[in-house]
Amino acid sequence: MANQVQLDPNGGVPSIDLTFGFAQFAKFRIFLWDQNGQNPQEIMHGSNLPGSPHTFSIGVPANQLAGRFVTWDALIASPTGGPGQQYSMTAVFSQNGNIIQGAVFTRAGQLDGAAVDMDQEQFV
Amino acid sequence: MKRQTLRLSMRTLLSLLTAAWLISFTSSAAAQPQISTASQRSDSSIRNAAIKRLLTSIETSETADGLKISISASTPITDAISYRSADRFVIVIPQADVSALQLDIREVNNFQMDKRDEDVALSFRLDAATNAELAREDGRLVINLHKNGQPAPPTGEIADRSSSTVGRNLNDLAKSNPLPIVPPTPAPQTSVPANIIGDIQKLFKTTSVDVANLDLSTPESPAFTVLGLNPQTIVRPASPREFATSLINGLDKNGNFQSGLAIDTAPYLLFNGQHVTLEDYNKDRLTRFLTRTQFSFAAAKGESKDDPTTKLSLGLNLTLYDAGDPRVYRAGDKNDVLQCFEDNLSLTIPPVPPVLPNAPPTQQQAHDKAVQDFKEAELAINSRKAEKCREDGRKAHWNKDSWTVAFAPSWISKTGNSSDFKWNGGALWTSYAHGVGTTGQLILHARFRNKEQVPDPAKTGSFIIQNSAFFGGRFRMGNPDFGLNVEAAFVHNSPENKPSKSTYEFSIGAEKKLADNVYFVVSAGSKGPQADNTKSHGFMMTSFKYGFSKKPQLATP
Repeated sequence: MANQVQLDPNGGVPSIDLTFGFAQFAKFRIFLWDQNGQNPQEIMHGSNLPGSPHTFSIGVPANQLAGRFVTWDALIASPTGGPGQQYSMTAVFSQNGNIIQGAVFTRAGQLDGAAVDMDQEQFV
Repeated sequence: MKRQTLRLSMRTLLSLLTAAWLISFTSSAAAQPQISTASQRSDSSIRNAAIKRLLTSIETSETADGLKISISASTPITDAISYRSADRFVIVIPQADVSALQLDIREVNNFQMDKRDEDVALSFRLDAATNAELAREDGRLVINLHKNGQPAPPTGEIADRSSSTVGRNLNDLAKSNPLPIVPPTPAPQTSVPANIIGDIQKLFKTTSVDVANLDLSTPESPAFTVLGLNPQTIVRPASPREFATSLINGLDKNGNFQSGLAIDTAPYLLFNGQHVTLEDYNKDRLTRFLTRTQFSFAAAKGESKDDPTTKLSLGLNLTLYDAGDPRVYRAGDKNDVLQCFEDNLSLTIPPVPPVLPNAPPTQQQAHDKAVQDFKEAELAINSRKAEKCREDGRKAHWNKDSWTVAFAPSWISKTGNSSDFKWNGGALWTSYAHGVGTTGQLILHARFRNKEQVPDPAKTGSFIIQNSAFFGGRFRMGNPDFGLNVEAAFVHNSPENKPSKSTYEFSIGAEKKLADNVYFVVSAGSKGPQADNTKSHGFMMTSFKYGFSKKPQLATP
């Protein structure tokens, strides 16, 4: 079941900050869906190479986001390889420059050279 | 800025906590912790390390009617088996490791070693007129070679066919039910005729693998090395909770360490890994240093029921500098691992639609299946590409500069009680590697061991305590497939209650990769006077390296 991101409908356009831990490389995509989980729009795709941006505007005013879904998927690769490694990806939603309460979502796990993971949230 | 300050504070705090934990842990070990763990322990989470035996030496000596091959190990070898296969005599030693093996083989024809999963197989050519028998002598495994019709030497305990004794000689079985002729080492044969190799070996009287293959690396898990362990099961905790659980599971209800426990972890990633981004790693030296730091812990009980001794050790491996670190981004370098990832890895399959909050179970299950299929498909596309990037990066940066330091103090409790732990010596290693162009590398290495238990060269089967210092260097030119090397070492040993001795080793060698994990090595050199009063001598050797290491012998530390 999707977690929820509580927006202020009168606030500014929300943003998502996507970071990856354990010094692992990642390529990612972020999509915005309608209230039925259909019609995806790509908000951003990219990687976490040093110097690359990691905070992205959702691009739609808050008062038009209620009930819509945001998903992100990522391919995470270990530069060193080898067993026993881990990864984590953390998404933090902000509005008006402040982190939205309860809108920090982390997924973590083991990776054997590479891993693919994804997450989804619903704006309310 | 605020975020950076917070992160720095967190790092500092975690560093202090880690240091405090190490100090408090060692203190508590000495103070007999009163931790009752019986009710907390989960059988599934108990992962005591099964310790493999370390083969320490293989030596030959002449007897009145033949030859004796003596094999020493860290624990008595009671389960070896032997058999004849065509013209070869094969000895299989279960659960054995050769990383600390010293070889001094003379007069043995076409001696080979082969790693078979967890076991080690030794074999040599045996003519039809010679018999070989296994025996046990002063804790060693002995193979007596003598001509047919001559009795085996009366020394030692001759092996019978019971698994409870030293070995199961399968010759009779082999005779009645011949085994297929499968050489124990599937390595290609040398192109140098065997008789010429034999002549060369006779000329130089001895072959010595250790001389031609100096170990100039710092151990990744120093705590295991200083105790002479090669744990079969190493706990690599994925979370602080699992780390604590592993430690608690390693204690009995009285707070004493149980059978072998081996933990290996990167403490900074363990406690703070979710906050270490690739960008932080590239921007901040302290983050790189802490992330690379490896911590190991090992506890080992005595080797017999009557031996309550417990030894424990803590180890740290510190990479002070590593110019070939694949996590460091070198923009524009076509062999940079991160650049290769950026250029070659991609998510190409359409995204999986979100599952609705009120979806019925069937839809939820269908979504889960779609997610699983998506992950598997993307991994199938990208995993090999990622591995190729890593492999290309390793080849391109094999000789980059690096400097590592490792140390491991150890303690011993002769009663097994945690309150009785006393200092039991330690070890310090350091290796510096410097690249010369794209094809050369100089490695300098030093190590110091304090209170090390080593076999007494004057008395077979007994041990002495000694301090030692080792300084070595190697210069290598070549590539991962072919290498020429020159190496030298100076060793100073100070045994307890005996005069100190110094010696040296020097060799020139070449190595050719024949196939994956198969290397042909030829070396020549000189070895100084040894502790067993062996005089200085020259040597030459040829050998195949197969399966023991996936890296070439002349690899970077």
